Amino acid sequence: MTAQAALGGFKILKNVARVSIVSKGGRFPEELFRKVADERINLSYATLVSDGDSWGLNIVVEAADEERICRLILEKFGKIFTLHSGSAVLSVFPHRRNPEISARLFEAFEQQSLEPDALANSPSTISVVLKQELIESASHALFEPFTFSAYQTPQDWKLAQEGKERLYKEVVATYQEKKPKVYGLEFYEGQHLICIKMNRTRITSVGASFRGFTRLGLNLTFVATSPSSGQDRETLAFSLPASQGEAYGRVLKRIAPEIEFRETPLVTIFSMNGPHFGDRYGIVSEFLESLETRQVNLLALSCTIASVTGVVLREQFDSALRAIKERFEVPSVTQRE
Amino acid sequence: MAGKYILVVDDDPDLVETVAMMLESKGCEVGMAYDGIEAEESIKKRRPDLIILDIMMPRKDGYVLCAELKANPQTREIPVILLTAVGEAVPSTRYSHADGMATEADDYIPKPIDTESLWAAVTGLF
Repeated sequence: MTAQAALGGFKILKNVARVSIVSKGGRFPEELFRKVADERINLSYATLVSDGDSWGLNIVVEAADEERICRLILEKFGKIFTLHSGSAVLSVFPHRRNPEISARLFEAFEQQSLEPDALANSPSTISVVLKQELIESASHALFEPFTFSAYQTPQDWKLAQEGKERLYKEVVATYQEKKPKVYGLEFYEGQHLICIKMNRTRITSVGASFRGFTRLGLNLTFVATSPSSGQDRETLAFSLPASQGEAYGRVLKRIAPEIEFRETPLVTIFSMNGPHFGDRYGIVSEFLESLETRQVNLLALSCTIASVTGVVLREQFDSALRAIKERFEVPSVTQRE
Repeated sequence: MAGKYILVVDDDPDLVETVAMMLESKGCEVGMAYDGIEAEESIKKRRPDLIILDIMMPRKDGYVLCAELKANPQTREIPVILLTAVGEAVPSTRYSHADGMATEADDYIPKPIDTESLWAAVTGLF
Protein backbone atom coordinates (compact mmCIF):
# COMPACT_ATOMS: atom_id res chain seq x y z
CA MET A 1 0.00 0.00 0.00
CA THR A 2 1.44 3.37 -0.97
CA ALA A 3 1.42 6.25 1.51
CA GLN A 4 -1.73 8.30 1.70
CA ALA A 5 -1.85 11.57 -0.24
CA ALA A 6 -2.73 14.72 1.71
CA LEU A 7 -5.68 16.70 0.36
CA GLY A 8 -7.58 19.75 1.58
CA GLY A 9 -11.06 18.26 1.62
CA PHE A 10 -14.08 17.03 -0.26
CA LYS A 11 -17.64 18.20 -0.85
CA ILE A 12 -20.81 16.30 -1.58
CA LEU A 13 -23.80 17.77 -3.36
CA LYS A 14 -26.87 15.56 -2.89
CA ASN A 15 -30.37 15.57 -4.38
CA VAL A 16 -29.42 16.25 -7.96
CA ALA A 17 -30.32 14.61 -11.27
CA ARG A 18 -28.07 13.91 -14.22
CA VAL A 19 -29.29 14.25 -17.78
CA SER A 20 -27.11 12.56 -20.41
CA ILE A 21 -27.46 13.44 -24.06
CA VAL A 22 -25.88 12.32 -27.32
CA SER A 23 -26.88 14.55 -30.19
CA LYS A 24 -25.82 15.64 -33.63
CA GLY A 25 -25.67 19.22 -34.86
CA GLY A 26 -23.06 21.95 -34.73
CA ARG A 27 -24.92 24.55 -32.67
CA PHE A 28 -26.87 22.12 -30.54
CA PRO A 29 -25.06 22.72 -27.20
CA GLU A 30 -25.34 26.50 -27.51
CA GLU A 31 -29.08 26.30 -28.23
CA LEU A 32 -29.68 23.84 -25.40
CA PHE A 33 -27.78 25.83 -22.78
CA ARG A 34 -29.52 29.05 -23.88
CA LYS A 35 -32.92 27.41 -23.28
CA VAL A 36 -31.75 26.17 -19.88
CA ALA A 37 -30.55 29.68 -18.98
CA ASP A 38 -33.82 31.24 -20.17
CA GLU A 39 -35.64 28.92 -17.77
CA ARG A 40 -33.23 29.98 -14.97
CA ILE A 41 -32.30 26.40 -14.20
CA ASN A 42 -29.11 26.32 -12.14
CA LEU A 43 -26.47 23.89 -13.40
CA SER A 44 -24.52 22.05 -10.74
CA TYR A 45 -22.19 20.41 -13.22
CA ALA A 46 -21.82 20.04 -16.99
CA THR A 47 -19.50 18.31 -19.43
CA LEU A 48 -19.47 18.36 -23.17
CA VAL A 49 -17.20 16.47 -25.56
CA SER A 50 -17.29 16.77 -29.34
CA ASP A 51 -17.05 13.62 -31.40
CA GLY A 52 -16.74 15.16 -34.84
CA ASP A 53 -20.33 15.71 -35.91
CA SER A 54 -21.97 14.70 -32.64
CA TRP A 55 -21.89 15.85 -29.02
CA GLY A 56 -21.92 13.96 -25.74
CA LEU A 57 -23.23 15.97 -22.79
CA ASN A 58 -23.79 15.47 -19.09
CA ILE A 59 -25.85 18.06 -17.25
CA VAL A 60 -26.57 17.94 -13.52
CA VAL A 61 -29.42 19.97 -12.02
CA GLU A 62 -31.12 20.11 -8.64
CA ALA A 63 -33.72 17.36 -8.24
CA ALA A 64 -36.43 20.03 -8.04
CA ASP A 65 -35.57 21.06 -11.62
CA GLU A 66 -35.40 17.61 -13.23
CA GLU A 67 -38.96 17.61 -14.57
CA ARG A 68 -38.56 21.11 -15.97
CA ILE A 69 -35.33 20.37 -17.80
CA CYS A 70 -36.66 17.12 -19.26
CA ARG A 71 -39.82 18.86 -20.48
CA LEU A 72 -37.73 21.64 -21.99
CA ILE A 73 -35.42 19.26 -23.88
CA LEU A 74 -38.34 17.13 -25.02
CA GLU A 75 -40.28 20.12 -26.37
CA LYS A 76 -37.33 21.75 -28.13
CA PHE A 77 -35.17 18.83 -29.22
CA GLY A 78 -37.16 15.60 -28.82
CA LYS A 79 -36.40 12.51 -26.72
CA ILE A 80 -32.64 12.68 -27.08
CA PHE A 81 -31.80 12.38 -23.38
CA THR A 82 -31.68 9.89 -20.54
CA LEU A 83 -32.62 11.06 -17.05
CA HIS A 84 -30.72 9.65 -14.07
CA SER A 85 -32.63 10.69 -10.94
CA GLY A 86 -31.19 10.28 -7.45
CA SER A 87 -27.66 11.38 -8.23
CA ALA A 88 -25.02 13.18 -6.19
CA VAL A 89 -21.72 14.92 -6.94
CA LEU A 90 -18.61 14.21 -4.89
CA SER A 91 -15.70 16.63 -5.35
CA VAL A 92 -12.17 16.26 -3.92
CA PHE A 93 -9.62 19.07 -3.77
CA PRO A 94 -7.02 20.31 -4.49
CA HIS A 95 -5.62 18.07 -7.23
CA ARG A 96 -3.01 20.62 -8.37
CA ARG A 97 -3.01 18.95 -11.83
CA ASN A 98 -1.35 15.88 -10.40
CA PRO A 99 -2.62 12.76 -12.25
CA GLU A 100 -1.85 10.74 -9.13
CA ILE A 101 -4.89 12.24 -7.39
CA SER A 102 -7.25 11.17 -10.19
CA ALA A 103 -5.57 7.76 -10.30
CA ARG A 104 -5.99 7.20 -6.55
CA LEU A 105 -9.62 8.30 -6.72
CA PHE A 106 -10.39 5.87 -9.53
CA GLU A 107 -8.45 3.12 -7.77
CA ALA A 108 -10.39 3.62 -4.52
CA PHE A 109 -13.67 3.38 -6.41
CA GLU A 110 -12.54 0.32 -8.33
CA GLN A 111 -11.55 -1.47 -5.12
CA GLN A 112 -15.01 -0.81 -3.68
CA SER A 113 -16.74 -1.70 -6.97
CA LEU A 114 -18.16 1.81 -7.15
CA GLU A 115 -18.96 2.91 -10.66
CA PRO A 116 -18.87 6.65 -11.30
CA ASP A 117 -21.49 7.87 -13.77
CA ALA A 118 -19.53 10.92 -14.86
CA LEU A 119 -16.36 12.80 -14.00
CA ALA A 120 -14.85 16.23 -14.63
CA ASN A 121 -12.19 18.49 -13.20
CA SER A 122 -12.00 22.17 -12.41
CA PRO A 123 -8.68 23.94 -11.72
CA SER A 124 -8.78 22.73 -8.12
CA THR A 125 -11.22 19.86 -7.97
CA ILE A 126 -12.10 16.48 -9.39
CA SER A 127 -15.88 16.02 -9.37
CA VAL A 128 -17.50 12.62 -9.72
CA VAL A 129 -21.21 12.05 -10.32
CA LEU A 130 -22.53 8.94 -8.59
CA LYS A 131 -25.84 7.39 -7.66
CA GLN A 132 -26.82 8.96 -4.35
CA GLU A 133 -27.15 5.55 -2.69
CA LEU A 134 -23.41 5.04 -3.27
CA ILE A 135 -22.29 8.30 -1.69
CA GLU A 136 -21.84 6.92 1.82
CA SER A 137 -19.55 4.13 0.55
CA ALA A 138 -17.73 6.55 -1.76
CA SER A 139 -17.00 9.05 1.00
CA HIS A 140 -15.71 6.25 3.24
CA ALA A 141 -13.55 4.97 0.39
CA LEU A 142 -11.79 8.34 0.16
CA PHE A 143 -10.16 7.85 3.57
CA GLU A 144 -8.14 4.91 2.24
CA PRO A 145 -5.95 6.71 -0.33
CA PHE A 146 -6.21 10.24 1.07
CA THR A 147 -5.84 12.18 4.31
CA PHE A 148 -7.68 15.44 4.83
CA SER A 149 -6.29 18.24 6.94
CA ALA A 150 -9.70 19.26 8.35
CA TYR A 151 -11.07 15.80 9.25
CA GLN A 152 -9.62 12.42 10.11
CA THR A 153 -12.72 10.26 9.71
CA PRO A 154 -15.99 10.28 7.73
CA GLN A 155 -17.75 11.24 11.00
CA ASP A 156 -15.52 14.32 11.38
CA TRP A 157 -16.40 15.25 7.83
CA LYS A 158 -20.14 15.01 8.51
CA LEU A 159 -19.82 17.34 11.49
CA ALA A 160 -17.90 19.82 9.36
CA GLN A 161 -20.74 20.03 6.84
CA GLU A 162 -23.35 21.55 9.16
CA GLY A 163 -24.67 24.81 7.78
CA LYS A 164 -23.00 24.47 4.40
CA GLU A 165 -26.24 23.94 2.46
CA ARG A 166 -27.83 27.03 3.99
CA LEU A 167 -24.82 29.13 3.02
CA TYR A 168 -24.98 27.78 -0.53
CA LYS A 169 -28.67 28.69 -0.90
CA GLU A 170 -28.06 32.20 0.41
CA VAL A 171 -25.24 33.02 -1.92
CA VAL A 172 -26.04 31.28 -5.19
CA ALA A 173 -28.56 33.94 -6.21
CA THR A 174 -26.28 36.81 -5.23
CA TYR A 175 -24.35 37.27 -8.45
CA GLN A 176 -26.43 38.12 -11.50
CA GLU A 177 -24.33 40.84 -13.12
CA LYS A 178 -24.95 42.07 -16.66
CA LYS A 179 -21.34 41.29 -17.59
CA PRO A 180 -20.11 38.49 -15.34
CA LYS A 181 -16.72 39.10 -13.77
CA VAL A 182 -14.18 36.30 -13.61
CA TYR A 183 -11.54 36.14 -10.90
CA GLY A 184 -8.96 35.09 -13.43
CA LEU A 185 -8.49 33.25 -16.72
CA GLU A 186 -5.60 30.86 -17.07
CA PHE A 187 -4.52 28.80 -20.03
CA TYR A 188 -2.17 25.96 -20.97
CA GLU A 189 -0.73 25.76 -24.46
CA GLY A 190 0.92 22.86 -26.26
CA GLN A 191 -1.50 20.20 -25.06
CA HIS A 192 -2.97 17.16 -26.76
CA LEU A 193 -6.60 16.25 -26.22
CA ILE A 194 -6.96 12.49 -25.95
CA CYS A 195 -10.37 10.85 -26.25
CA ILE A 196 -10.92 7.18 -25.47
CA LYS A 197 -14.25 5.52 -26.19
CA MET A 198 -14.94 2.55 -23.98
CA ASN A 199 -17.55 0.69 -22.05
CA ARG A 200 -18.51 2.63 -18.94
CA THR A 201 -17.42 -0.21 -16.66
CA ARG A 202 -13.80 0.21 -17.81
CA ILE A 203 -13.42 3.86 -16.90
CA THR A 204 -12.24 3.28 -13.33
CA SER A 205 -9.54 0.81 -14.36
CA VAL A 206 -8.25 3.05 -17.16
CA GLY A 207 -8.42 6.10 -14.87
CA ALA A 208 -6.50 4.28 -12.13
CA SER A 209 -3.62 3.86 -14.52
CA PHE A 210 -3.19 7.64 -14.79
CA ARG A 211 -0.54 6.96 -12.15
CA GLY A 212 1.77 6.18 -15.09
CA PHE A 213 1.52 9.85 -16.12
CA THR A 214 2.70 10.90 -12.65
CA ARG A 215 5.86 8.87 -13.10
CA LEU A 216 6.50 10.80 -16.32
CA GLY A 217 6.03 14.08 -14.44
CA LEU A 218 3.04 15.10 -16.59
CA ASN A 219 0.37 17.57 -15.50
CA LEU A 220 -3.25 16.62 -16.10
CA THR A 221 -4.93 19.90 -16.99
CA PHE A 222 -8.30 18.62 -18.20
CA VAL A 223 -10.33 15.48 -17.65
CA ALA A 224 -14.01 14.81 -18.34
CA THR A 225 -16.28 11.99 -19.36
CA SER A 226 -19.28 12.23 -21.62
CA PRO A 227 -21.82 9.78 -23.00
CA SER A 228 -21.07 8.36 -26.41
CA SER A 229 -23.19 6.67 -29.05
CA GLY A 230 -23.75 2.98 -28.35
CA GLN A 231 -25.04 1.05 -25.35
CA ASP A 232 -23.15 2.02 -22.16
CA ARG A 233 -20.41 3.68 -24.18
CA GLU A 234 -18.56 6.62 -22.67
CA THR A 235 -15.82 8.93 -23.83
CA LEU A 236 -12.99 9.66 -21.41
CA ALA A 237 -11.35 12.90 -22.55
CA PHE A 238 -8.18 14.32 -21.03
CA SER A 239 -5.25 16.49 -21.95
CA LEU A 240 -1.50 16.01 -21.57
CA PRO A 241 1.53 17.98 -22.78
CA ALA A 242 2.12 17.44 -26.50
CA SER A 243 5.88 17.37 -25.93
CA GLN A 244 5.47 14.06 -24.09
CA GLY A 245 3.25 12.47 -26.74
CA GLU A 246 5.40 9.40 -27.34
CA ALA A 247 5.85 8.73 -23.64
CA TYR A 248 2.19 8.91 -22.69
CA GLY A 249 1.26 6.97 -25.82
CA ARG A 250 3.42 4.10 -24.52
CA VAL A 251 1.70 4.34 -21.12
CA LEU A 252 -1.74 4.20 -22.72
CA LYS A 253 -0.79 1.18 -24.85
CA ARG A 254 0.56 -0.60 -21.80
CA ILE A 255 -2.59 0.14 -19.76
CA ALA A 256 -5.01 -1.15 -22.31
CA PRO A 257 -3.49 -2.37 -25.56
CA GLU A 258 -6.89 -2.96 -27.12
CA ILE A 259 -8.30 0.52 -26.64
CA GLU A 260 -8.18 3.02 -29.41
CA PHE A 261 -7.57 6.61 -28.56
CA ARG A 262 -8.12 9.66 -30.70
CA GLU A 263 -5.64 12.52 -30.33
CA THR A 264 -6.32 16.11 -31.25
CA PRO A 265 -2.89 17.68 -31.45
CA LEU A 266 -2.00 21.11 -30.17
CA VAL A 267 -4.97 22.34 -28.26
CA THR A 268 -5.19 25.08 -25.64
CA ILE A 269 -6.96 24.46 -22.35
CA PHE A 270 -8.37 27.54 -20.61
CA SER A 271 -10.27 27.94 -17.35
CA MET A 272 -12.36 30.81 -16.08
CA ASN A 273 -12.94 30.90 -12.36
CA GLY A 274 -15.73 33.17 -11.13
CA PRO A 275 -18.36 33.45 -8.42
CA HIS A 276 -20.53 30.34 -8.59
CA PHE A 277 -19.55 29.76 -12.22
CA GLY A 278 -20.01 26.06 -11.65
CA ASP A 279 -23.51 26.11 -10.26
CA ARG A 280 -25.61 29.00 -11.53
CA TYR A 281 -27.57 29.45 -14.69
CA GLY A 282 -26.42 31.53 -17.64
CA ILE A 283 -22.66 31.15 -17.41
CA VAL A 284 -22.18 28.19 -19.76
CA SER A 285 -24.66 29.59 -22.27
CA GLU A 286 -22.89 32.96 -22.25
CA PHE A 287 -19.56 31.15 -22.72
CA LEU A 288 -20.85 29.06 -25.65
CA GLU A 289 -22.57 32.02 -27.32
CA SER A 290 -19.42 34.09 -27.10
CA LEU A 291 -17.42 31.36 -28.88
CA GLU A 292 -20.11 30.97 -31.50
CA THR A 293 -19.96 34.67 -32.40
CA ARG A 294 -16.27 34.26 -33.31
CA GLN A 295 -16.75 30.87 -35.02
CA VAL A 296 -14.59 29.09 -32.47
CA ASN A 297 -15.08 25.33 -32.46
CA LEU A 298 -15.20 24.04 -28.93
CA LEU A 299 -13.75 20.54 -28.59
CA ALA A 300 -14.66 19.90 -24.95
CA LEU A 301 -15.94 21.67 -21.86
CA SER A 302 -16.29 21.04 -18.16
CA CYS A 303 -18.17 23.18 -15.69
CA THR A 304 -17.99 22.32 -12.02
CA ILE A 305 -17.38 23.94 -8.61
CA ALA A 306 -16.70 27.56 -9.65
CA SER A 307 -15.07 27.27 -13.06
CA VAL A 308 -15.72 26.72 -16.73
CA THR A 309 -12.90 25.00 -18.62
CA GLY A 310 -12.80 24.90 -22.41
CA VAL A 311 -10.62 23.10 -24.96
CA VAL A 312 -10.01 24.64 -28.39
CA LEU A 313 -7.47 24.23 -31.18
CA ARG A 314 -4.37 26.32 -30.49
CA GLU A 315 -4.91 28.52 -33.56
CA GLN A 316 -8.40 29.42 -32.32
CA PHE A 317 -7.42 30.44 -28.80
CA ASP A 318 -6.84 34.13 -29.62
CA SER A 319 -10.33 34.33 -31.13
CA ALA A 320 -11.76 32.51 -28.13
CA LEU A 321 -10.11 34.97 -25.75
CA ARG A 322 -11.40 37.98 -27.67
CA ALA A 323 -14.89 36.50 -27.66
CA ILE A 324 -14.83 35.82 -23.93
CA LYS A 325 -13.60 39.33 -23.13
CA GLU A 326 -16.59 40.74 -25.02
CA ARG A 327 -19.04 38.91 -22.74
CA PHE A 328 -17.11 38.61 -19.47
CA GLU A 329 -15.03 41.04 -17.45
CA VAL A 330 -11.59 39.44 -17.45
CA PRO A 331 -9.12 41.32 -15.23
CA SER A 332 -6.18 38.99 -15.81
CA VAL A 333 -5.09 36.33 -18.28
CA THR A 334 -2.25 34.05 -17.19
CA GLN A 335 -0.35 31.44 -19.16
CA ARG A 336 0.56 28.41 -17.06
CA GLU A 337 3.33 25.93 -17.70
CA MET B 1 8.02 39.10 -1.47
CA ALA B 2 9.85 35.89 -2.27
CA GLY B 3 9.61 33.42 0.57
CA LYS B 4 6.65 35.12 2.32
CA TYR B 5 4.21 32.53 3.60
CA ILE B 6 0.59 33.48 2.85
CA LEU B 7 -2.47 31.56 4.04
CA VAL B 8 -5.48 31.66 1.70
CA VAL B 9 -8.82 30.78 3.30
CA ASP B 10 -12.03 30.36 1.31
CA ASP B 11 -14.63 27.61 0.99
CA ASP B 12 -14.46 27.89 -2.82
CA PRO B 13 -11.52 25.60 -3.72
CA ASP B 14 -11.27 27.05 -7.24
CA LEU B 15 -10.82 30.57 -5.86
CA VAL B 16 -8.19 29.28 -3.40
CA GLU B 17 -6.37 27.65 -6.32
CA THR B 18 -6.56 30.78 -8.51
CA VAL B 19 -5.18 32.96 -5.71
CA ALA B 20 -2.57 30.36 -4.73
CA MET B 21 -1.26 30.09 -8.29
CA MET B 22 -1.05 33.87 -8.58
CA LEU B 23 0.88 34.14 -5.29
CA GLU B 24 3.18 31.24 -6.16
CA SER B 25 3.97 32.86 -9.50
CA LYS B 26 5.18 35.91 -7.52
CA GLY B 27 7.49 33.74 -5.40
CA CYS B 28 5.32 33.41 -2.28
CA GLU B 29 4.77 30.22 -0.36
CA VAL B 30 1.08 29.43 0.01
CA GLY B 31 -0.97 27.56 2.58
CA MET B 32 -4.58 26.68 1.84
CA ALA B 33 -7.57 26.25 4.14
CA TYR B 34 -11.25 25.86 3.33
CA ASP B 35 -13.02 27.08 6.46
CA GLY B 36 -12.30 29.05 9.64
CA ILE B 37 -11.54 26.07 11.86
CA GLU B 38 -9.10 24.61 9.38
CA ALA B 39 -7.43 28.02 9.06
CA GLU B 40 -7.08 28.22 12.84
CA GLU B 41 -5.38 24.81 12.92
CA SER B 42 -3.10 25.83 10.08
CA ILE B 43 -2.07 29.08 11.84
CA LYS B 44 -1.19 27.10 14.99
CA LYS B 45 1.08 24.82 12.97
CA ARG B 46 2.79 27.58 11.01
CA ARG B 47 2.45 31.30 11.53
CA PRO B 48 1.69 32.99 8.20
CA ASP B 49 3.15 36.34 7.17
CA LEU B 50 -0.29 37.35 5.86
CA ILE B 51 -3.80 35.88 5.70
CA ILE B 52 -6.28 36.29 2.85
CA LEU B 53 -9.61 35.50 4.46
CA ASP B 54 -13.08 35.00 3.03
CA ILE B 55 -15.96 36.00 5.30
CA MET B 56 -18.78 33.64 4.34
CA MET B 57 -17.64 30.18 5.37
CA PRO B 58 -19.09 27.23 7.29
CA ARG B 59 -18.05 26.21 10.82
CA LYS B 60 -16.30 29.49 11.64
CA ASP B 61 -16.75 32.50 9.39
CA GLY B 62 -14.17 35.13 8.51
CA TYR B 63 -15.60 37.75 10.91
CA VAL B 64 -15.19 35.51 13.93
CA LEU B 65 -11.74 34.27 12.93
CA CYS B 66 -10.53 37.80 12.18
CA ALA B 67 -11.84 39.07 15.54
CA GLU B 68 -10.15 36.19 17.39
CA LEU B 69 -6.83 36.72 15.61
CA LYS B 70 -6.87 40.45 16.36
CA ALA B 71 -7.78 39.83 20.04
CA ASN B 72 -4.89 37.41 20.52
CA PRO B 73 -1.54 39.11 21.29
CA GLN B 74 0.27 36.25 19.53
CA THR B 75 -1.55 36.72 16.23
CA ARG B 76 -2.76 40.31 16.19
CA GLU B 77 0.22 41.52 14.16
CA ILE B 78 -0.49 39.14 11.28
CA PRO B 79 -1.96 41.27 8.46
CA VAL B 80 -5.41 40.12 7.33
CA ILE B 81 -7.02 40.93 3.99
CA LEU B 82 -10.73 40.25 4.16
CA LEU B 83 -12.58 39.17 1.02
CA THR B 84 -16.01 40.72 1.49
CA ALA B 85 -19.11 39.57 -0.38
CA VAL B 86 -21.57 41.46 -2.54
CA GLY B 87 -24.02 41.09 0.32
CA GLU B 88 -25.84 44.24 -0.75
CA ALA B 89 -27.69 42.03 -3.22
CA VAL B 90 -28.82 39.72 -0.42
CA PRO B 91 -30.03 42.00 2.37
CA SER B 92 -30.90 39.07 4.62
CA THR B 93 -27.23 38.17 5.10
CA ARG B 94 -24.70 39.95 7.27
CA TYR B 95 -21.92 39.24 4.78
CA SER B 96 -21.86 42.62 3.09
CA HIS B 97 -18.87 44.78 2.21
CA ALA B 98 -20.01 47.33 4.81
CA ASP B 99 -20.13 44.66 7.51
CA GLY B 100 -16.66 43.50 6.48
CA MET B 101 -15.33 47.06 6.77
CA ALA B 102 -16.48 47.13 10.40
CA THR B 103 -13.95 44.45 11.35
CA GLU B 104 -10.34 45.01 12.38
CA ALA B 105 -8.91 43.54 9.19
CA ASP B 106 -5.98 45.40 7.63
CA ASP B 107 -7.51 45.62 4.17
CA TYR B 108 -10.79 44.74 2.46
CA ILE B 109 -11.40 43.56 -1.10
CA PRO B 110 -15.01 43.19 -2.28
CA LYS B 111 -15.93 40.10 -4.28
CA PRO B 112 -15.85 39.35 -7.12
CA ILE B 113 -12.15 40.04 -6.67
CA ASP B 114 -9.54 40.31 -9.36
CA THR B 115 -6.15 38.86 -8.68
CA GLU B 116 -4.25 41.99 -9.76
CA SER B 117 -6.03 44.16 -7.16
CA LEU B 118 -5.47 41.47 -4.58
CA TRP B 119 -1.75 41.40 -5.35
CA ALA B 120 -1.62 45.19 -4.99
CA ALA B 121 -3.26 44.85 -1.57
CA VAL B 122 -0.80 42.12 -0.53
CA THR B 123 2.26 44.16 -1.52
CA GLY B 124 0.77 47.21 0.22
CA LEU B 125 0.88 45.38 3.55
CA PHE B 126 4.60 44.51 3.48
